[in-house]
Amino acid sequence: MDCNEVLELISSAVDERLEKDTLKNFYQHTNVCKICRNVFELESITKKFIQTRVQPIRTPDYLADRLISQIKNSAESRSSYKINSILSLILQWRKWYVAIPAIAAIGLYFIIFSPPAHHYHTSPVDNNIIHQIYNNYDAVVDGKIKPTLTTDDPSVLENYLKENVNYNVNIPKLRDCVLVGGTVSQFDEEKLSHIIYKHGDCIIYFSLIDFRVVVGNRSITLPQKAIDELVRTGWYYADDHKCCSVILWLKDSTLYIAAAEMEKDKLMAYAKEGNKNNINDSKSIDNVFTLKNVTHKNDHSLDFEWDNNSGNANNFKSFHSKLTIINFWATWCGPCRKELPDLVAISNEFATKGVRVIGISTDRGSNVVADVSEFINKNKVTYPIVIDNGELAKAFGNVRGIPTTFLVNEEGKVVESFMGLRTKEFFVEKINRLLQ
Amino acid sequence: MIPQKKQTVKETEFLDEAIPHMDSLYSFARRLTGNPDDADDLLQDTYLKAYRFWDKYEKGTNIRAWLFRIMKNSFINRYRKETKEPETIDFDEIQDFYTKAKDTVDDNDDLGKKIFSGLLDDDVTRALDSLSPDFKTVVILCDIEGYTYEEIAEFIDTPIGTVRSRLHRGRKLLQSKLFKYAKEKGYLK
Repeated sequence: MDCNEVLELISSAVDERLEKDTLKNFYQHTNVCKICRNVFELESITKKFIQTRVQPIRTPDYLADRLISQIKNSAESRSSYKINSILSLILQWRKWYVAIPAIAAIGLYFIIFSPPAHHYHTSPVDNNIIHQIYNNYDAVVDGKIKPTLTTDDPSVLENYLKENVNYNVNIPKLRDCVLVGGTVSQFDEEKLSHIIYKHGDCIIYFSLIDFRVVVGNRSITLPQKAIDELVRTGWYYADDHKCCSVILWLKDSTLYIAAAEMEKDKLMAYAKEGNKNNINDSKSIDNVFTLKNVTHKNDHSLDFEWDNNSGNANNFKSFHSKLTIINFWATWCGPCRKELPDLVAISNEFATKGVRVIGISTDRGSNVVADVSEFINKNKVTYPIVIDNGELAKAFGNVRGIPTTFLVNEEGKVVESFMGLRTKEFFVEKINRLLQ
Repeated sequence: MIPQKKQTVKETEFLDEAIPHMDSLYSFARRLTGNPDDADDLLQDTYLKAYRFWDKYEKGTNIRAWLFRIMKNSFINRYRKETKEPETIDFDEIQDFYTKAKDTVDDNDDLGKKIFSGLLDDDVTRALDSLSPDFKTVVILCDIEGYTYEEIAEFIDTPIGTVRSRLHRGRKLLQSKLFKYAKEKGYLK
């Protein structure tokens, strides 16, 4: 190798990217050529210097928040544009005096000439909200009622509805069902929320209204029998149509109505479960904390504290045992979400061997604790989650993207770090090796 | 029959796949532009463009490379006019200094510390800023962000050989700048 060849390979040599044979030739030359050796050494020094002095910079919270909401808004505004025109037609059921005969005629046409996709539950158009729910259900199935906000995230829809109505809204969260979206409509002065779920091909439709409106003898009413039953038991079941179940229940003085073409008991089970698992359920797992303090020690090990009122460990040192997996993640990060069930399994399976798992959420926003808690409950994450304000990622120094996972050994030192999604097998293998 | 799900799929996909790379891109934007305000604009521009052209992104390919390319192009479009004239730099000076200094020191690490020890973070940022975008990009991506040559080649759409030579040249320019600052401040005699 001559000087020109060596100079061309210098950056590769600095970055340790040369093949064994090439590297041998490279060193053969630099051992004798002082000029090339100096160039090589100086470049190595420069790289090392830059590496230690210039750290990656994390996106400031305000910027990340702004960007995410810009993206979400651009999606929302486009979908609401499409639907507003249809929305003006629906749900203001006085107009249905005109619309119903037309729909009925079309319905009749289909009944006679081709079998309809589903059968109709056409009900009287009056002030009885149960009748209206049957009519609305048909309109939802026919695609005549569409959500103004399409989202599969109940918390997003919940926030949207809360902004638009003045009663309590807890979106039922249904297992095995996909949220399609929701909308708000106005009838006289009163606002109704509408939520659409899908279970396979079956649509489950919810409507919410302030219960005080219904008992206030105004334009939206319920039969007295239903009101009595709701006040007495909190639940009511309407059996106007055998094929379509309608269930009503009360929670925090909001009336919830669910309608679906499924058996009463099945819908009841969904309704009860959704009622239990809704977002503001206070019986949630309490393992989401906020970061309080990060301390660097002289021996390069880290300690950090989190807010905790329950009397359990509230700093890393007392939480840590033999090996801790520190996982930087966020609720919006797909790969992170994929990793969570594996980490939960690991935290359970290896608990007796002194392996701990702690999640560091990089989520941001004004409701971050509630948002993360809701997610944690839904996904049954049992290990503690500490919400980082950026300090911890900075302290770890190497969190360029998420998920990033660090393994901390018995002495409290980071021994391994991985950026990106890893499998359970991968973690188990690392754990077993480190525990030996 | 079911209300439009299309927007949501796009939004969910984008939030899942593109947002996790925000920190890498922001870090790069900060170094590339050299100041927070321009970095904010550049990051925002990049993400909104990426969202708008999400259907152009081929699923399963390197998303980070795709985002980086959008950022690089946005940067070039925006700052093209402001490209500085290259300064003349004396490479020999530092080599001479190093050769002499080496005779008095055994450990290379010590020597490294000695050469650049007195420099402030501002000096380092200033030196990095003085590089032209082509050189700056490869140095940031390799030395600060820690990407491999292959990844960098994909990000900037050039052969690996070009990455290698730009790195060498970029580091050399940086080295001379740092040396110059150190000398100006009187840390080096």
